[in-house]
Amino acid sequence: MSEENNKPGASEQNDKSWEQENPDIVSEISIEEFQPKGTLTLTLLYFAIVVLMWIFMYFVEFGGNAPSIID
Amino acid sequence: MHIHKFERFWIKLSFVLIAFFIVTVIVGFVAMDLKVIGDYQTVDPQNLGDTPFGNPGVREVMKNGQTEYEVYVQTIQFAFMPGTASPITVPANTRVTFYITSPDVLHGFEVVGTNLNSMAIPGQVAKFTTIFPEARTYGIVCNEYCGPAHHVMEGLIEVVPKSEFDKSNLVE
Repeated sequence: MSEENNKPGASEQNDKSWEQENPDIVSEISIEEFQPKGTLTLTLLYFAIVVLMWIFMYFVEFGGNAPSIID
Repeated sequence: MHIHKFERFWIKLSFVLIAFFIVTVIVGFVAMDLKVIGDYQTVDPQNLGDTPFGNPGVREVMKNGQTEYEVYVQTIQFAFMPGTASPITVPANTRVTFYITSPDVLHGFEVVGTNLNSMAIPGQVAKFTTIFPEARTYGIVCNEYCGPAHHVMEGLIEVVPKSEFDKSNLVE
């Protein structure tokens, strides 16, 4: 509560929309037009790391770690 | 519900990842011939003296015309018998079958740095076969908490070249 009241003009502008409070918006886009390509690249990079670590852990560290149980 | 196309892509990719994990596990067990320990037999933990575990150690057996070795190990609080007081000595490049059980509480039998790893459950015999590819010493640790001295429960496996294997320490 106290934090909200500390924002400039918060008390008298509560009935205005977010756009009215931010008149410097140049254009609005739909959800599909929003394309966070940087975030996608980063998550794909993490994905690739997970896949490579799995391959290393399973095939090299586990599968290649002789002696193994053979029977 | 509207889902953004990036999110749809990510959800699909997550399912692909799960499928990939399952495929690698199947490849491991089919193509790479990885094995896990199954149930072998039960035993009365109060009367191990009536079983080969009563005289634990390394035994020589003939199977399919080949000399193989069987190692019966009791895991007790807080030692491997044999393994702790005297190392388990086996030859390299030979089939060695371990039989492991516990007369008291749950223990682990892990050959450090290898895929040989089993629980030692009272009343259950864990059986697994392996071939040690080279002569060297392996450590054994207990990896299931078994009591106040669990952390000092350890042993040794000494793998010696086949030609230097001393059969005088075998048990009958």
